[in-house]
Amino acid sequence: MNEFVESKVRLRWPEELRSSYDVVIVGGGGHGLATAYYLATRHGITNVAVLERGYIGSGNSGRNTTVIRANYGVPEAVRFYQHSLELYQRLEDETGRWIMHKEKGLLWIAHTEMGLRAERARAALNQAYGSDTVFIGPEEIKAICPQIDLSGGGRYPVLGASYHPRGATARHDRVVWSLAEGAMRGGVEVHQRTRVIGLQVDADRILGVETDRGFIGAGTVLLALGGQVSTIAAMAGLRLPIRTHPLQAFVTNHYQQGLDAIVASTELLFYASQTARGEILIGAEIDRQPSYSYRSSYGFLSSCAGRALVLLPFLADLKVLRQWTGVCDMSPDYSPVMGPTDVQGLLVTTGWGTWGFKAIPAGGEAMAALIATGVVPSLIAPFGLDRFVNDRTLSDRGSAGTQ
Amino acid sequence: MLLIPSTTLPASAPVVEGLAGWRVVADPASLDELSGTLPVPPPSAGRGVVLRFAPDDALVLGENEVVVTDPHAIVEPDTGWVSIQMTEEHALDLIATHALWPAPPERPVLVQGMLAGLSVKVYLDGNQSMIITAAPFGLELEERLGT
Amino acid sequence: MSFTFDGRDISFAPGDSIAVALLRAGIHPTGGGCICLGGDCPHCLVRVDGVAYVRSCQTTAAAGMVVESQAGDPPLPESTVQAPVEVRTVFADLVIVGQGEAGRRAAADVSGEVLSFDAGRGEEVIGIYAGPMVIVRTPAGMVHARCQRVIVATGAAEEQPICPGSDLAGIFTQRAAEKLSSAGIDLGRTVQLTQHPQRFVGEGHVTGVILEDGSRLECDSVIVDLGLHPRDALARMGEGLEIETVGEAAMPGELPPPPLTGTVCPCSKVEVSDLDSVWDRGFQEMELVKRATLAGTGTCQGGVCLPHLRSYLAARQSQAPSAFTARPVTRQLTMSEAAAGFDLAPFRRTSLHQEHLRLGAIMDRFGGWWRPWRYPDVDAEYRAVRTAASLGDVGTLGKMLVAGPGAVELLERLYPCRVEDLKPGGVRYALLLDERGYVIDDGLICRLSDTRFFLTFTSGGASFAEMWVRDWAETFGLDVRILDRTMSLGAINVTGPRAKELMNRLGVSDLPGYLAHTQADVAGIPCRIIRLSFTGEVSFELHHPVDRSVELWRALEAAGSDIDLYPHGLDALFTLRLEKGHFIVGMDSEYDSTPRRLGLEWAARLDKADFVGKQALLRTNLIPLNKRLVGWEMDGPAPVEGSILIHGDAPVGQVTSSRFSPVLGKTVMLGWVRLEDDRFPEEVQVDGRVARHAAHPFYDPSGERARG
Ligand SMILES: Cc1cc2nc3c(=O)[nH]c(=O)nc-3n(C[C@H](O)[C@H](O)[C@H](O)COP(=O)(O)OP(=O)(O)OC[C@H]3O[C@@H](n4cnc5c(N)ncnc54)[C@H](O)[C@@H]3O)c2cc1C
Repeated sequence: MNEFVESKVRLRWPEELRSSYDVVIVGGGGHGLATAYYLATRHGITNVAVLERGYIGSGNSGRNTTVIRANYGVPEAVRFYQHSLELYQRLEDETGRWIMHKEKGLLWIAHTEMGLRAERARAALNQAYGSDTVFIGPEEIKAICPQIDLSGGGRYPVLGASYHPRGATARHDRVVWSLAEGAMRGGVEVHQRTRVIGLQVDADRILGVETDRGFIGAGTVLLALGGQVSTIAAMAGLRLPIRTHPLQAFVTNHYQQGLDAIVASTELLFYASQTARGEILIGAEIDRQPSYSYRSSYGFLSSCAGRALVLLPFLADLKVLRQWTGVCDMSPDYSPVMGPTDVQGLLVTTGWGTWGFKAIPAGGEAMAALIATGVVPSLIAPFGLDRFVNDRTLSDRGSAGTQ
Repeated sequence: MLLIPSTTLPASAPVVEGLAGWRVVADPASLDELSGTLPVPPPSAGRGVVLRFAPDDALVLGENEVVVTDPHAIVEPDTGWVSIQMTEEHALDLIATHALWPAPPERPVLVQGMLAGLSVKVYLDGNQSMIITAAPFGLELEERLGT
Repeated sequence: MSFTFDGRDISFAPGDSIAVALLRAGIHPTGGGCICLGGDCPHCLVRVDGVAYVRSCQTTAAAGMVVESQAGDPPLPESTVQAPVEVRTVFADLVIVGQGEAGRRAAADVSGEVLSFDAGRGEEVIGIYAGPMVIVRTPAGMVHARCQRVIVATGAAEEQPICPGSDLAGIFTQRAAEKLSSAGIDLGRTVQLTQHPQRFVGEGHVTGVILEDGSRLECDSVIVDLGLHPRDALARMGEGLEIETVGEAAMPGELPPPPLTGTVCPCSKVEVSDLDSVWDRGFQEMELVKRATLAGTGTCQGGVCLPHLRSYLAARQSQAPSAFTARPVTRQLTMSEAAAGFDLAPFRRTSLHQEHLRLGAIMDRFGGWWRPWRYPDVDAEYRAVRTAASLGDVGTLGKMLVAGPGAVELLERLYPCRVEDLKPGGVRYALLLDERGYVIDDGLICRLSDTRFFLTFTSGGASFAEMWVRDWAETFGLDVRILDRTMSLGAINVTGPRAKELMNRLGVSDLPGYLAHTQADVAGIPCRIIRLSFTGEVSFELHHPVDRSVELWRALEAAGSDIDLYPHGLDALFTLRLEKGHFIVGMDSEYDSTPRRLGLEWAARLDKADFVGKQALLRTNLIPLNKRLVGWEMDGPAPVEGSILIHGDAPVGQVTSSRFSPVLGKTVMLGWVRLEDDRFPEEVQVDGRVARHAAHPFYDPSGERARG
């Protein structure tokens, strides 16, 4: 046995699908399951079904590069992600499950005067809103990550960085499973292989969902669908400001631990970290072309490897093991969208784009509170759909690590 | 076994030279007139080369004056391009090693696309050839094709 | 001929793979595990010349190689010298992967241009991508083969035994044994198995087998012939593309008996008991089992374990699960092999690049261009602009000609300012808005004639602006001609109280007035001279053919040599423009910056006919303002750009630009401030000091100097 075999989580699957629930959550990714988990554990709401078309975590929650950080660029986001980062720090204690949470520190490296300016501003804003980020120079960068080529291949010199010591990673699947287990233990039903194919709405109120296993009534329906959200929301006549773009990543084979920090570059647009299992995990920006395709491209692998080698040339001889793709629900302002819609009883948690893994605990906690109390928690109030109507967008492209 | 020809270049490294010509943006019909029926006439046609960048856009080399029928045409002297001249064989080798597209068989021909990560136009006339890029990329082109 | 293995000399016969040479020397490359010699298992992985995870059975031995055993995870290298990897893009009608019998037959059957690859010849196909594009690792470098169609004839892999003792040395598949025997390697006393045994026995090396019925056979080696499984990872990866799978790769492949005990996945060391453990706790899908145990996620990507995992699940479910997703890559390549052929983003150099270097400038990248950040005498840069004359390279600005009967209408509908009433020879500053009414760029509109305009855009926004103008011209269906001149024209900003004098010295007597432009020769070089001011002093932007830039720059330098002329870089320019309160798109503005938020309401004429963004502005102007960009002043040195504005105890905004102004003797700033208790704070703390809201321009508010 390897030390990474999951040895504790017990998933209890329901025998049958009932014809109605108080709450139906569509999508068994991190956000859907976290909402179910907090509904059960914090609010005692358990007449809940999570419907998942594949297996749990089969969407982006099982495909991401697992970076947890709060070094965002708008105050509302810093507060929200900082809370999520703290929930993550406690999640192992709370669930009693090993999610391989590890604080690593994250370097966001700048190569130009404009880059330096942005990272200094990030550090200042983060400190002001309760997240620990400091601006550091090349020597400190080298001390944190000795493998970095400070000359940037002669082309992208390392001039400075914002350093976020609380930056962490956790094993994505284990986060999904421990939340699913907790929800199931509380009485929530999670149905795999159950695909939603329609939404029933009567006079602006949700009645339930149509699935490939029949109709299921519900007073509250939460769409937690990742890249599929806009097509399903359209079934209730909602046009969401979401575009789906593929996001790719790859890992190398397994090596002994040695890359301690998470390294990201603002200009080269890649980030790298080492998994507990020893793979070097590298991601970059979204595919420019919107698409629902899960097909990985060689162009991505090639360009991402090429850019990573500029800063981390010591990776040159590492063997690439596997690449994959997720499809991301991108919002126009690079901030999430959480809350009610124009259809009564129909809620969304989306706009998670390339950044929603770190938000799973806080997003789930807040959506559960909204479902339980009917009141939008202040932490997520700025992230409602209404912000696009009210000219209150929360633009944070510079923090998304993509373009 | 597939043989990979060497990508080593001839002893003389390529050097970019400035191009001077006329840039013409005009309705396609008047540009058709200007360039005859061929997209790129061979230099042997006894007049300048019309490099047709787009239906309404051309760079005219080797002419002292350009007149088009479109009364609203933009006709401006343009020195914003640089080129590297080389044998066609050499150009084809660079395309095979630095581009994702195949060289088309027709001659003469103007191809436009990415070469070594730079946006270029390649003119092949069956004998000589020239790789053209915008002046600000000139040195990068030299560096990238020279190694 | 020899190479070294863990320091020991190993001689090899020509054509030997490293694995065969090692086995000839009596060495198992990894110490144990069934050897397949087909590239399907992880049992021959070694380090070759420092590169770990090399399949020694697929790598031809070469003299002088340094081969090392790879027990456990190899260490990360500390540094690596990247050897260049050759790469070639090739085109064909058909690519055939695999040159076994089926592959050769397929090749014989077709016409057109055919390329074929075979791992046996050292050509490892690592993946099939959309196109189709087949990526191949060859001894001579990478080959990227683009084609119309792919035939996958990758054959079948032999089943590996799963039972206790399967990690011993001395176990070979049938095909491996044949290869070894034809290489003249003696396997000693062998036992041939066609069914899974109970277990293999031995210490390190197999010495016997206990069969299903409990009987024991003594031996030196075991040859297993347990069945074949399609090597179909490439075929599955290419699903949906123009791909045909032939031969053994296409066969259904019978599932082995469900594994009972032993190691199922040798890469990740997953035992059957691990599968039982997760299965019993609800992990009952192929993907869940894989993810919960890591089975199938190692080097061989399921090559060994996949049939056994399927069989394991089939025994517990009503039907056999399909294989897990085949993700690239099927054979490993190094990061530098993957990166071969990729080119980093190019940086643009202006026509004055060499001049800046000659003058000792520190260059920085900005908006995709190399630009002078500072020249050696930083103080002189600023002083020259404010007290004498200075040159700035603004060749990076976006520049565009728009002409035709539809030109006026296009610009009226594109820009939020009036265009129609601009006279030929006139210049107007303009914002560019998107449909949301957000500022996406700014620049100048210069009218050349009734139907002809010259436009400028910011350096970073130029390429987007070109697309934007073209898209709208097409959307509106207007009769216009558009020519981007960004890279064809250089531009030098001549600025300072003595700029006029400098221009006169170069033979231009008829200078344009403020907000005007003219075409004239400067030092014999044709220039469009645009009179506006970003620095706050009299300024002439000289737009000229790029091939004449150096000549023009030097003429200006020479003409100003006796009046303290000194060039200025971006750093000084940022101070100069901040003293004038000019914002910079993207530095001071944000994604949702409406003209109102920037304090530039005047720049959007809501009383004119429709323009891009007007409807949004009409709507959002009714919503109370929640934040705005305003000017701030404070004593002492400039705080870091990005510093937080604190009001009471609460953060209320952020500084976007801050500089100490030598001429004003204080720090001036632009910064966003948020609405607090229904008003915008006027006095805040920045960096522990008091900063006060102040109207801008901070310097020369009436603009006399610029109009000069
Ligand atoms: C390559 C990659 C790297 C990333 N890296 C990071 C990172 O480092 N840090 C970070 O914070 N975020 C990262 N992300 C983003 C993060 O993974 C996502 O934002 C997050 O997982 C979203 O979770 P979710 O629950 O909203 O969506 P998902 O996990 O996608 O869940 C949606 C679920 O809905 C199911 N579904 C879809 N349609 C239907 C239907 N009709 N009926 C029923 N079920 C349906 C899907 O099968 C899926 O399981 C990354 C994403 C990718 C793709």
